[in-house]
Amino acid sequence: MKKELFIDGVPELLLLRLLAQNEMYGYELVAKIHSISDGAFSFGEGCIYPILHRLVGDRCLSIRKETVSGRPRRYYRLTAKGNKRLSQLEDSWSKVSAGISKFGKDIIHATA
Amino acid sequence: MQQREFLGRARKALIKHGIIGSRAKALLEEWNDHLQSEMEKLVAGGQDRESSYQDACKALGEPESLVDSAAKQLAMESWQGRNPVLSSGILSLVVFLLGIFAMVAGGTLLKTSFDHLSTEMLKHLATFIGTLPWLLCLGWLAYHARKMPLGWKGLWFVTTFTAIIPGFLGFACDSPSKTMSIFMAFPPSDFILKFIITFGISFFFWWYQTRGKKLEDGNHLYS
Repeated sequence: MKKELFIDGVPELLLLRLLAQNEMYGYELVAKIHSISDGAFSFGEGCIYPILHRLVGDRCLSIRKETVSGRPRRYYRLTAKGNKRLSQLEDSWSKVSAGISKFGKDIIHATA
Repeated sequence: MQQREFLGRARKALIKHGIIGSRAKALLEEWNDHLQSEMEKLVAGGQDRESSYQDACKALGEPESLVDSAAKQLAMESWQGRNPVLSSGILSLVVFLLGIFAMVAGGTLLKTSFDHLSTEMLKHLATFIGTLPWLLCLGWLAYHARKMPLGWKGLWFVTTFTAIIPGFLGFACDSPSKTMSIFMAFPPSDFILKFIITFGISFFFWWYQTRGKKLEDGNHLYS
């Protein structure tokens, strides 16, 4: 499995999952990830926005600009291509997750 | 005022990392919206504007580290960024080979097709052919260097090195009488030596500035 799917793919997976439910803007996404994961995932704002922009470039997300309180705001929405990408990432992640779950505590204790 | 300062520092850091144009604008707009949204949330919670701004900035982090993290993320999107050492080696090699090829081809063309020109004119043409490919190659290198972690430094180094070494590219228009031998100014040993030195130093320099980047790749998302 590619390393990017395992580690770098995590924020992408979470972003796509959230956007599969609703159209959202950057701050909203960051705040949701933080609150849903109870602070376990606290991706830096420096990394989230470039990922969003890349996904827009890859046409996995569409963008809608709106002016809010005098400042521009970008709303992101999942596209059909983004949906496919989400399915791919979910498949990869479920394989990783299933693989990790096989290394239960019993096995670790038995091999120790 | 403070918000402008934050965005100004972020803008400067973006330029330093070679992130410019629409990409930089989009990031600055996102961070500005993020900062303002966080502030509004804190103000709605009863905090005053001044302290809410301070807290929002603290939550977002130092502009320089924010940009650093974004630059790493952007670098990871390109093959060059994911393989900085390998790509810098290949890019250096391609640039120098292209430059040398263009000059040798230009020289051969001058020798065979323009021998009716005055020696002075030939000398100028030789200088032009000697400089233009070098500039074009550096431009091409600059385009790719944007995607490299700290790539600008590598570009400056190559530019400086190739500019300060006289006759680096084999041109020595010291006398009009030697015009016809200008393009033969690549005695094999000299040419190979110059090539190895330049390529070796630029490669080493890039390796030096990108060392350890691979190890950081897996961790930067969580920092």
